[in-house]
This record gives sequence, structure tokens and C-alpha cells, in this order.
Amino acid sequence: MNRLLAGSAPLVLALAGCSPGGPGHSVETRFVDAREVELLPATSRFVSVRDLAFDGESIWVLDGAPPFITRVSVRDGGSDQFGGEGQGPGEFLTPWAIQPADGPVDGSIRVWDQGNDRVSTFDPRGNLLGSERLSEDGRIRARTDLRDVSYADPFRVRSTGAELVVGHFPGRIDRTADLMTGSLQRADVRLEPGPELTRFVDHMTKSASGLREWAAVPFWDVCEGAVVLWSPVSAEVVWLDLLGEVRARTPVEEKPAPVSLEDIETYLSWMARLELGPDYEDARIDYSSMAKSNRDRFAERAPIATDLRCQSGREAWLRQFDTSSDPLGRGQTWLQISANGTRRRVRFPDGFTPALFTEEGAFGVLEVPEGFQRLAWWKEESAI
Amino acid sequence: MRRKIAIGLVLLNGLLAAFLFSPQAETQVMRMGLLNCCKSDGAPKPYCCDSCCWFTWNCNRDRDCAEVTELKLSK
Repeated sequence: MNRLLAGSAPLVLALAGCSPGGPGHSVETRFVDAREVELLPATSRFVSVRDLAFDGESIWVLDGAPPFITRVSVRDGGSDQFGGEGQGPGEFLTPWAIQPADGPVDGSIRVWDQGNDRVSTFDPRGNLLGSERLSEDGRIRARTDLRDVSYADPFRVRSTGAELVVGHFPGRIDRTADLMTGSLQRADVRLEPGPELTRFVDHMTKSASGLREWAAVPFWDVCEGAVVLWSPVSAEVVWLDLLGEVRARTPVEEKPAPVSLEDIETYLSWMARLELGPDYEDARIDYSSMAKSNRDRFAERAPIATDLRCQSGREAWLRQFDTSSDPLGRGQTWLQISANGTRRRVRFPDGFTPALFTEEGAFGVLEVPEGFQRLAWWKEESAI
Repeated sequence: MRRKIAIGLVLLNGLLAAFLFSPQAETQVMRMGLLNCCKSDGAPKPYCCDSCCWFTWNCNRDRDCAEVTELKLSK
């Protein structure tokens, strides 16, 4: 598997040579064929992957069911699994985030669990090195099925090496628009909030406060010590330093599409399935009339972005809204944006969700038969 | 006696007709999902929130969640 990450230099040159688009230029779309997405060998099936992290040698997968943690070596493809269910040190109820640790031994990993309010540190083999209670102010109270009802991701934790960057939310997160209450902050390992980098409300339109669904909310990520933020109110990707100072802005010239009644029907049908179970069709719900009568509970226009991932300190990917493959609007098309303004659009095959972008492609999660997920890799062949 | 039975049947018919013409889906669904409205944030105790659910009854207060949970456990 080390071949996958090797030889990036020619790819960088190739990518640079064919970077399409820029301010004022049309954005090309690259359609990725399903055959271009390969399953990683020797990796397990997962129930519901919640987070991925890369520490330079291994990919770490945080699953929603035990064993919660899987390490996959990019050198030899070998893997380890650990992390049982429970409320004690090193055990998990609802783990949400995983990040490489800057000690105490090489290759350590940290996992944050909002269920039992603990952060646990393990060595690469899964031996518990430490476990601490989260700070009272660092706790996030959000419904455990939030990802089933919203594209919001309040649980994201990113390491800058010495510190962490997290979203801080004083109130409970029950719906997308609740992100408005939060801010992006530096924090310690226990998620004790430190200096504030930016407030999310400053990046949202005021009308979002009254909206329950499909509010345009900010998304963020951290790469190479730079914070990358999607600001819906200005339709810009903003690069911040760790003091919260703006270092670059890239406008995104995408027009938000109107939310259609079909979008709302798709959403309501999904909610019925979640709330009523597999027999939800027996309820014979008239989604069409329900969508019309609840139109004002949705945004007038769909958000441009439903996620953001950075590839480097100057490259980011925005996930575009689309209900054709996901009832919440987490589309398969991503917009690649760089700090100097170049951009292009990539549509991934259904079932594949990229999470870790590199210069060669992206690691992500692929839905496989019987409702499971596996780790997969998209290698951009055409860039060679 | 027959008169009482006839009146009873007429009343029953009226009751059934009322169900027939009532807004069907939501009302039925809400009753069906009465025990499903509570949410969890990972902690052992569930909680209620305003408009957490579209089709099921929403608890009025957090205490309702605890009561529902106790009912479930006692069955």
C-alpha cells in the first residue's frame, strides 16, 4: 500500500499542469468511475465510520461499533483493532473524533468520546496510555443520531501538533442551525476552550436562526497549521492562522439552488424511515402535502456546501448540496479550491465518501453490500 | 333493547366515519411512535427536545423521557 502514497512529486507537477478554472473561468467536472475507487486490502468491514485520521504512517479509522478503532499501516497494509464498549478508562460509548497525538510515544492516538466524556490515548498497538475526563466546558451535547438528520459536524477535532482546534458549543446541538451558537476555538486535550478563532454566527445569514433544516452553516478543517473555513454568508473559503487572522480568501462563484418540494419530500421520507422503522411505508404518509405545509421549515435556497476537507494548507474541498444520492443533501460532487483561486469539480461514484484528500487522490469510505463500509482509495489515474 | 342496539350501532358508525375522514397519516403515526420521541446524546439518560422528530410525539419536558424509559425497562 505504500505504493499508493509514493511518487507524489510527479503527480504534483501533473496536477499543477492541468489545474483548470480560476476566478471568472468555467469549472470543469471530473467524473470518477466506480472502478477508480479501490478497496484497501486487509481492512475490516465497518458499521458506521465516524472519523478518519492519517499520522504519516497509518490510517486510523474510528467506527461507531466495537472494536471502535482500527489502524491500517500504509507501509505493509497490516492492521490492528481495539477499543471495547464501556464507561471505564479506554472504553467507549459514543466516540466521535480521532487524531494523532504528539506523545507520549511515537504513533500515539487520541480518541474523544462524548458518551462517557473522556479522552483516551493509546499507543499504535492499542495499549492504553492514559484517559482523562473532558473539561466541563469542552463537552458537546448533541443527539447521537445527529449525522442521520443533519450534515452538521460539531464533533470535529483537529490537531495542530501542540494544540487542538475544536468547535465549542454552549448549548445542545439538535439540528443544523444550532451550529450558530458555537465558535471555533483552540483547546487542550481535554477540550478546555482556549482563544477563540472565529464565531460561527459571523459566517451565517441571520435568517438561519429560524430555520430548522438546510441552514447554510460554516464548515472547517485544519491542515499544516492553517485553519480552512467555509463562510456561507460571504460565499468564501477563508484561510486563517491559529490566531484567527485571515491569511487568504477565495470566493466561490456557485449559485445556491432553490430548495424544491421534491427535495423536501425526499427528506421527509428519510425522517419517516428513521422515526418509524422499516415498516414506515405502512403509515401511508402523504409526503407531497406534508412538504407543502412544512415549506417554511426549510431554507429558501439550498446551501452551497455540506462539508469541507482540506488537502493542504492551501487546498480545500467543498462538498456540494444534492439530494439525488443522499436525503440530507450530502452530494457526491466536491469542489476543489486553492488559496490562489484555481478550482475544479470532481464527482465521485455513489457510495464513496472521501475524507482524507492527498495530492494523489483521496482515502475514504465505501458502502459495500449488506450495509457495511470499508476503507477505500481513489487514485487519480488521469493526473499521471 | 333493539332500539338501544340500533342507536349504539349508529353511534359506532359515526365514530368510525370520523376516523375515516380524519387527517390520516400524521395522527396515526404520532400515536404509533409515542415511545420513540426521546433522543440520546450518548449519556445513559435520554432527553427531549423541541421538534426533534417529524412524525412522532415530542416530549414536553426532559422528565417525560425518564418516565418513558422507566416504562420501557419495567416491561
